[in-house]
Amino acid sequence: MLPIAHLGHWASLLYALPVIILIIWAAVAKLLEHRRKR
Amino acid sequence: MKLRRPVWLAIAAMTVAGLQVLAVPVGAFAHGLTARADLPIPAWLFAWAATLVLLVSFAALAVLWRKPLLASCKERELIPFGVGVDLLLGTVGIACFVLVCWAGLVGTFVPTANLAPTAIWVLFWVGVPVASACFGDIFRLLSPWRSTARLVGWLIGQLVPEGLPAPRRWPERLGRLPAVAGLLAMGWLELAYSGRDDPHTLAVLALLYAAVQLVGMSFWGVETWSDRGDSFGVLFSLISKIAPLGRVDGRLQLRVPLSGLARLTEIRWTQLLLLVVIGTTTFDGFTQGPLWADFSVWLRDRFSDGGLAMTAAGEAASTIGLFAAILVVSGIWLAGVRGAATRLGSDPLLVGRRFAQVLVPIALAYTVAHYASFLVIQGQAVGYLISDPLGNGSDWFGTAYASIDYGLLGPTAVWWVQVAVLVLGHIAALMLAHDRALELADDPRTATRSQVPMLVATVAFTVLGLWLLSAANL
Repeated sequence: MLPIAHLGHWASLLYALPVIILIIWAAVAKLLEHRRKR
Repeated sequence: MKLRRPVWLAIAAMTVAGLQVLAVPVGAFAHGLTARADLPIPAWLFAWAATLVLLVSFAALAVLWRKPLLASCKERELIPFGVGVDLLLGTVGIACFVLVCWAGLVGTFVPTANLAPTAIWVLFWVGVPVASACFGDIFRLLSPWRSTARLVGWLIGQLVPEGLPAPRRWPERLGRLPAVAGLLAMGWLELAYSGRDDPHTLAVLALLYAAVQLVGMSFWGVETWSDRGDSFGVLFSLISKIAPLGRVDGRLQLRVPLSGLARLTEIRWTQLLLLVVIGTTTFDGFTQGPLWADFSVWLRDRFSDGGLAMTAAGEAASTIGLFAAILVVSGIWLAGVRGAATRLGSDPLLVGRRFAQVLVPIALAYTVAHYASFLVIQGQAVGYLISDPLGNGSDWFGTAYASIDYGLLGPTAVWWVQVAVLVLGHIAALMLAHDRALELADDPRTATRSQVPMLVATVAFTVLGLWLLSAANL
């Protein structure tokens, strides 16, 4: 079995969250811009 | 330029969210890490705080820094820095190299009692980059191979009236590829090779490396090879461009920190070289965490099932891990570059090359954050090793019985240093990227917009760095 238990460790997700939020923000900003252009 | 309202709102929201999270009582998150470092907040919150600092820095750069500044900064001439300095420091460099190799070849096989492993892994690999970032390109002067090659070249020039034949032309398409190969080999040696601490092996490899450098320099010229083929020369020289001190035309100059990087000569494969350094440090951090502890055993067993001996299977697993780490950090960087290129309306390949210097402070921050305690604690071993380099009981300077003060930098202090260095390094990266974007874009607004993907990549590097360090601290 591939040991992936640590991947699900909640703290790791908390580290990644700022980056995930930023990516979502950048994607939403881009989407809004596209809409406005149309 | 004016930032659009949604951007301001997002930054304000992140700031408020960050402050709210920081205000939550510490007891609510009383988990694992406090056992080692006594932190006021859980370690992952530092990642949020660092993100916040980078976002605020980004906004401040967009509002206050409206035209390219770094490349046109003026230097101030200090003192003449003539050939005598080259001669003196070159001799010191050659003497140190001979001492380390001699200790490695003749001295004890116990790695901690022999000067060679500490001198190579602590002073050379970690100490020289840190010193370069403070005082400029000291390794250029100390480099044993560069000094030897210059000395031999000068001697032959004196002996042979018609002088040396002109060096060959280096194919620019290959750029810094030999230096990349050297650093990859160094990373593999450090993290995958099982005999990495054996003083004898290290001394032989150091001599081999010096021999390759001398051959390279004799074919393509000392300066050309130093800038393209000498892995350590190239890396330390790139890092030294951060420093407020530089040497131009035999004079020591005072310059604005980072301005040396804004004026970097573009040579191909520089990005890959820096990504290999960042990837190597990333993997080193990753190997100290619990995830790799489990995964490496699983991977090693697969190789061992395939018929490899246990040591070789372990090395194969680490080799895969090393390359995977380099791929991950390259992926983060290329995503940032691609996004910036789209917004600048330019070719990603070209944009990557023009932004390569952004990786230099990140590579330094990763190195310092990762090895800070190693340098301060293990570095003290030089005190007794210098009196007894062979580990045979001699006491040259009366310091052979000095010991290491493990309390010099406690776990809490180490963590604060790591966080500060990572955040400062990434703010420097944002500044360099912003300045270069202003050079390339038609207007400040486009420049700032092009830097959003770079900001995300920078935050990703910071958060990855903090995650690795905290996992290693567990």
